[in-house]
Amino acid sequence: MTARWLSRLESLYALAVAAYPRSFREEHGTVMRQAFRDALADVEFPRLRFLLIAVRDFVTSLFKEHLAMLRDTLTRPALAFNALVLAGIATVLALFLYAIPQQVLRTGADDPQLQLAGDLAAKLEEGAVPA
Amino acid sequence: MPNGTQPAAPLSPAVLAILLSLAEGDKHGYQMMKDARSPGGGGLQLGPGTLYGSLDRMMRDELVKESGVSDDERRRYYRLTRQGRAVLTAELERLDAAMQSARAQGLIPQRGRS
Repeated sequence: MTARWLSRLESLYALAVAAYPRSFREEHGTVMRQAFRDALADVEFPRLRFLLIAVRDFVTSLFKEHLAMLRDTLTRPALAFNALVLAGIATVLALFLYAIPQQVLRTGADDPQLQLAGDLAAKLEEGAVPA
Repeated sequence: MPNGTQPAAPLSPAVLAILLSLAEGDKHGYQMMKDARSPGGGGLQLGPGTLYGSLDRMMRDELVKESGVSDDERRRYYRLTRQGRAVLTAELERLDAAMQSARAQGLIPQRGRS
């Protein structure tokens, strides 16, 4: 594997590290990239094998860290309260957005009948008797 | 783990491998990955994400801490705390009891006496 390939792999891993939760990557991003670099530089350990380990590790630890972040967020009372308020606002907005078009449609559906009744009343006033 | 309380045993393989590695002295990330991979470390294939995720939680539980000494700013060395050593000892005793029980039942061969 050439130096250019190793450099590409390191860049790719740096991109992958960016997918971790912000606090986690700010705390550990640099040292994780260094551990990845050290592993690639280790001549005693096959690189391909390490890359397979790194891919599997990325998928499982990414899921785990995002889950841990979510759990931390939801267990903080102030953040949980804010999340509940936001969820409430979103629900009210969604209901309004649903109810307003329904009301417009319902009002519009009455228009032909009102028009018909108006026309009939006008004809009756003019003395015309319906058959 | 504050106030001397013990975490629920058994430890995860990653946590046990990290504690075993740090029992020898201060180590940085890749050294711990190498130790975990060795037969004595449990033969565990640790990647950087699992390693630092575990270290993060272990620092919160006060099992390990940063040594504060580094030859390179991109490398961070970790050290076992007294609490970490106690947890490791408790886990090894638990595993040892399980091994003795397995030997007594003939599930694994008896150790050779010399």
